[in-house]
Amino acid sequence: MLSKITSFALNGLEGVPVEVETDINKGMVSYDLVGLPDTAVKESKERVRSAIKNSALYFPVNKITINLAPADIKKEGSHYDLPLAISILKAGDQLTAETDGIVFLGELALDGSLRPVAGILPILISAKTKGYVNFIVPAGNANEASYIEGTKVFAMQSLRDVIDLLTGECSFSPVEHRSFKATQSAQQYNYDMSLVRGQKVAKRALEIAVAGGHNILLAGPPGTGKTLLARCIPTIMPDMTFEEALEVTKIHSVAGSLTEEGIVSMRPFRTPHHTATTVSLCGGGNTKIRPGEISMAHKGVLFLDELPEYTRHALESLRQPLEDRVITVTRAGGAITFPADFMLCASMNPCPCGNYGSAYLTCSCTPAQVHKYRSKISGPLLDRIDLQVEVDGIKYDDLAGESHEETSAQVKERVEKARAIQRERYRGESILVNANMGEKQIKKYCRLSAECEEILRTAFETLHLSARARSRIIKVARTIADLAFSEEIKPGHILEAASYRSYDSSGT
Amino acid sequence: MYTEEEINLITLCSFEELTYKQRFTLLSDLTRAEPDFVKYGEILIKTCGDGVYNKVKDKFFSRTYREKILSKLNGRGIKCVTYFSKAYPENLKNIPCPPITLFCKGNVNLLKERCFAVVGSRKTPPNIIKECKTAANSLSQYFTVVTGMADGADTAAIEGALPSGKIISVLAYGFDHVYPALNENLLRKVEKSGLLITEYTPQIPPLNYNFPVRNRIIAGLSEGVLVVSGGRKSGAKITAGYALEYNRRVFAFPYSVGVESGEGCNQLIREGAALARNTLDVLSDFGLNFNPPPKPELTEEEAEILKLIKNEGEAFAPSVAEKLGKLPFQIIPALSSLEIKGMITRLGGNRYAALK
Repeated sequence: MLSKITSFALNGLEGVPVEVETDINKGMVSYDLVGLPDTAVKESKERVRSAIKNSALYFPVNKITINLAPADIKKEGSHYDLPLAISILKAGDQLTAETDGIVFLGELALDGSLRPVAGILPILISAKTKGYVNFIVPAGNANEASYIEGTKVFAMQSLRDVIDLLTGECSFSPVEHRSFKATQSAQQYNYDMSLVRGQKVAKRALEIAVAGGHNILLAGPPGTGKTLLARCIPTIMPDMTFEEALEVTKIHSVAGSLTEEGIVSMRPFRTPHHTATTVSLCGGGNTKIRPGEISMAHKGVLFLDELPEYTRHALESLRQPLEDRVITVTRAGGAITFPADFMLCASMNPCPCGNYGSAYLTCSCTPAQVHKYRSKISGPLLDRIDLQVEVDGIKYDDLAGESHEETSAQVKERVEKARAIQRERYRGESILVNANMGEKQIKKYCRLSAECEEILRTAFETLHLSARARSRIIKVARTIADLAFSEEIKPGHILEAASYRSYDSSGT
Repeated sequence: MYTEEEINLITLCSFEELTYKQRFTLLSDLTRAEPDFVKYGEILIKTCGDGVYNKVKDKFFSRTYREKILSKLNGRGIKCVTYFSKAYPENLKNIPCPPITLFCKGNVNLLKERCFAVVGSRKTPPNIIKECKTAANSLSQYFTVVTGMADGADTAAIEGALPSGKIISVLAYGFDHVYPALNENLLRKVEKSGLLITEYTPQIPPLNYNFPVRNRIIAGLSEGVLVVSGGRKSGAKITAGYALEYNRRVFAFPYSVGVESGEGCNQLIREGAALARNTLDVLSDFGLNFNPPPKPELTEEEAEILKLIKNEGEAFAPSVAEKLGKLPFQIIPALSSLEIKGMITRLGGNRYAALK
């Protein structure tokens, strides 16, 4: 007899329906699995056999042929165990219940219980758009599945339960839909701006960077709090919307790094070590293409500590995703596009010894060493980092007076207001924040008065700025104006923007 | 093109076997002797001994060798100014050990101009770098600025004087080399609009012991030396030492106590060098007029901030803001504006220093 069960394959973040067809014939006892299964799928045979036996069912001793259709795409992952088992049972007439329109996903343990699998959320989202409503998933994926409205998801403990549910012997209730807001407010960041003492200039720069979506480079002597500052960035970013959270969760689900919560409600903060390879940053893999760090940092922050220590190759690979906000990973098996809309925050020492600019220690580096160190970061990459800020090289105990430090919530409020202004301004445009402005939009939205033009001109002459610094300064000035609720860019805004460019006029 | 005398000296300088002392003895004999080839032989034997004489004599008297040397130099665009040349600067002739041949690239006429040396250490603080640039720029109104090619103060002096083209950079190695490699562009610029000179034949690489020797040329060429920075043991101090020896005026920027890169300057002042606060101090010493560029207009806030920074010489931006009762980001525009107007400079780590 022949049976057909629906499951899904993942192609990047996109789910593709897969028909699991099983035919049981008389003949030599065999088990053939065809339709481009990978090793994990091929091995499922043993798991399925034991799981069926241990669920008090019977594994047919016949010639079993299973086909995974469409036969031309690779089937990867362990979530085919459940559909395979159901399909075999159905083909062997042990299960006669209706299974049409139900999507089966799940990995089986030898005792017949269901284990959670990666990639449930993206599959659910794609399946929903393709008109599927009913799903059976492992209980461990219940949280992840609970955020998709308009679906009926049953999260089951074991194969036996699944059979009982299908035959109607026991009644199970579908996973309850959960609202996103509740989970969001339940979680809190471990860091806060008020924990950073002093560093007023750097904090201001962070505020501007987040408000306008600019990338930022923090430069300063070791041990001055660069990392702590960077960790505070997610705390002042606007809360994620549900759509954003789903997008992020999709990526994390594919990577199999979802927590118990089931949805990523806090902005991701990724800190790949400087030994990271290009592939680990951008994504890739031999058969299954996995998202890299830049995609994992989607809608959040990618923090590259000690920027010059990264390999040149890895850094250069960031240029294109920084521009396009997506990354297309091409391998022999095909090309997959992952979103990569992240804010880049980098930190570096000002020189190899780290003491350049310190108020207490003398830098022992020769100018050639400093130049070599800084030139590890290419111009085109620096081009995409709008704000380059020096952190204070000073001990705060030396400063008189108990300083009052703002909390992240206060800063976030201002950031959100500035973001609202930008949303209003870019209505109908393809961009969301100032940092994404192209030359055309700069001309349209950043008209400069004669006085501002004059300031820019003198700044270029006296500070030896490179030509490409111009649009950077204007974009940052636009954000500063937005933070000040100013319609036009004023001289003060241009001047402030011009001060965040420490690495542009190198050597002078 | 070159006279026979000049060619003799150029050929003499091409022998690496000869020490400077031997060449110099030869030179002093040559000034007295008739330019007669036979006599050279005698002189060479007398001063260098048979060993060296046998090595170099054939080459020295060989026409083809001489032509080869000259065509090599010409091919590289190197002009030679020898002790016997008309273009040889008088100032250099008067020092005890003048270079026998100056290999030049660029505008040789600069050698006849009034020269003034601006020297300093490689580790010059950022604000002094700016001062040095300004000083070199205003000095170039009256003088040709003479300096080396190192990072830091030398580079700043070159950058300051380059627009006027009145810049001589004295190298301590031959023209086949570039040192420091980072300054290659600058070196080419000086070659194009100023003058590069060295007493070394093109193939001599940068050797550490040649740099102090080179400094005597910087001091010798110049009417005075301005030392902008220098530690206790610095090349700039060596230059100043030569300058004092040759009876040139020595000026030094004053430094506050405890600044390592200025200890040499303060010591020079203690030993009698003139204290120079700015170019005006230098030029008035020579009886020259100098109109400092007009001070840019400052807003009230800018003036207030500048005063605070000047009080301490250098200041930390958040501290300045605190003194004014403002938040640091509120004074960033003013600081930025002051920087653009050339009144202050950054030291790194959000610290600023006032410029004179």
